[in-house]
This record gives sequence, structure tokens and C-alpha cells, in this order.
Amino acid sequence: MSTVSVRYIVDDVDAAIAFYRDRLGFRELMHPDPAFAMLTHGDLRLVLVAPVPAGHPGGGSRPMPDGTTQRPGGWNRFMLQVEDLAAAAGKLRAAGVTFRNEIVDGIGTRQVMIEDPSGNPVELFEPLRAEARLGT
Amino acid sequence: MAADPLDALRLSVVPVDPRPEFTAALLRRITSAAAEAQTRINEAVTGTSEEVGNIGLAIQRALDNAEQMQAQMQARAAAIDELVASGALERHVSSQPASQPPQGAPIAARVRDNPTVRYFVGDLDAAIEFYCQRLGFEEELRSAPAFAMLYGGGFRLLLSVPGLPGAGRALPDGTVPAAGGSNRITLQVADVTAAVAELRTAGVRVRADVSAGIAGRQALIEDPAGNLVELYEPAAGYQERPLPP
Repeated sequence: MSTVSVRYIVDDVDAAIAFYRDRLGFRELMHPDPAFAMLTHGDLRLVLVAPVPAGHPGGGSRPMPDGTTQRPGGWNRFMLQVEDLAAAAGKLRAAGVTFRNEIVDGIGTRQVMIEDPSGNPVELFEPLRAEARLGT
Repeated sequence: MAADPLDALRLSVVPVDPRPEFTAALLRRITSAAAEAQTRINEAVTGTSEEVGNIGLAIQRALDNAEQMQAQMQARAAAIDELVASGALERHVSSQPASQPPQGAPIAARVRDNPTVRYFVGDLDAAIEFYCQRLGFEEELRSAPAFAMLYGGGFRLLLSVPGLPGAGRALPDGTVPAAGGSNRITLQVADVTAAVAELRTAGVRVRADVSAGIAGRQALIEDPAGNLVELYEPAAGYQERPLPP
């Protein structure tokens, strides 16, 4: 069961479901509305929402009170651990996935940023030291 | 028999030992010495010991040497102070089994299985204070000025500073990461109205006040860098759906 929830704004919920399911191994929990889907990956619940008008019953992607529309993109992201980043990146590239950068060796992780079909970043990382590894 | 790490503080010239094992051993030793001293002081107060004078001398000597140490190891001491202040090193030391010396990294964080999210913040200290003071996160590691790791709400939250080394560095095309956007973490609360009222009183920016959705009520607040955090109160009777087969 998922323990935490992240909400991503997407332009096309169906395209996003296909991406997260087929490319990153998420499972679809529900897709009860064209503008809403809930996926899960380990302890992470990913809520995908398309921007909706102010009167829409779904509350998560309405415009802000000042009228600002919620949009995909930005830099904040969730991270997925992989065992072999080069191999994972190779597969994703072959499948046509967009990369925002090339593989970078950081202090704790080897990492790369890919984009979902709406341009939201997802960081894939391979731990380079014990503290960066999720799970034991 | 291994040398007492405290000997390093008793020397007139304090050697610089960069090994993390040494730092950890020294901190362990200081902790136990402090506990021992406290016991002796308690005994002295109740008249069962006359060693207070000796302890005073020892403490003075340690302080004198510590001044030299400070001058000698300024940069390093500052880094250690930060770790001690943050509690990270202390937790690390206390969690190390006595039979196993610490391995590898000088900055050791506990390994947990929490889903991980990275947020960009311009002011690392302000962000840490916000998440820890306002939202109950725990600081696990601070590597100022570029990076911090917090735990809270089930998440491991990484804070990176745009333009600095690490995840904040510019992309090959020169683009620099930035705070903000609409994507966000969701923190479940028991009473979103009360939570928003309390946060607003504390000066937190509320981006979108409480509104009803389909499965609950939610509100959006901003961290000091302008990143959104969603507060969510599930509707009564809401249950997580089981995984599909």
C-alpha cells in the first residue's frame, strides 16, 4: 500500500498513465475521470491530474484563487532508484523517452532526469554510497 | 590497548585526524565523559566526592586545548559543529554497533525506505526551518550551502539549491533549476482547516485556502522558496483502494 502521495499536473492523463505504467513500472489504481488518475509504485502514490476549470468537482487541479492555471513542468520531482542507471537510461532512450540531461555522477548518486509526456521531470538514480540507497 | 580519543584534546598541539572513524570515536568518548562528569558532580553536590576540583581543572584544560583546536581546524570544526547541531552525527554515533567501526562516509545518514522527492530552494536554512518547525519534518543531514535531507510525512525530502554543486547545477544548455511549479507533495492531516489556520498564524503563505474535492478537502501552502505543499484531509470513510491483481 502506498504511504505517501505526490501530485503531478499533466496535459493528457491517458498519455501520462501509459508512460508511467509502460516505462517506469507504475500500476494503475484508478482512472475514474478523464482529468484524474491514481497510480502506485512501491510506497509512492502518484496522482495525475489535468487542469480543470474552477467549477470542476475535482479539487486538486483547479485554478488558484488568483486565477493562475496549474501547469506541468518545473524542477521539483520524485526520484526512482534503479540498480543500473546506464542500462535503464539506454532502454528509455530506445523507447523514445525525452531526457533533460545526461547521466551525472553526484556525491551520493548517479542520476539522470527524464520527462513524462507533459514535460514533468522524473529523476532516476543509482546509489553510489550506502546512505543514498533506499531500502536495505 | 587503543589510545583514548580524548587524548587528542589533552595534547598541547591537537593533531588533525581527518578519518570519520576518529570523529565518531571522539564524539562517543566525549558523550561518555560528559555523563561520567555529571555523575561525579551529582555525587559532589551531595557530599560524596571531592573530585570536583580535578574535574574543573580537566574541563579548563580541555577548553584551553579546544581553543587551539578551533584555531587549527576552523573549517573542519565548523562542519562538525553543524552536524552535531543537526543531530545527524550524534544519531550516527549512537546507532553504530560498538563492535563495528563506522564505514566509509564522514556524513552518514540512516537508511530508510521512504519515497524520495527533490525540491529546489533558494535559501537552504529557511527551507529547513520551515519544514522542521512548521510541518514536523526531521533534519537528517545538512551539507550547507547546497543540500539537505529531511524526513517527514512518510517522505525523504531532498532540498537542493539552484546554481550550487549537486542537483542544483546548471544543465549542459545552461538552464538552471528553479523552485516552484504546480507539482507537489501531499501531506495528510486530520483537520485541514485547523492546520491552515495555525500555519497562517505562523506567517506561512497560503496559496489556495481549504476547498472540497471528491475524496476530501485540501489546501495549498508555500514553502519560503515558493514550492507548493498540499495538505489533504481525507473524507470520512475514505479508504485506500487495494492493488489490482
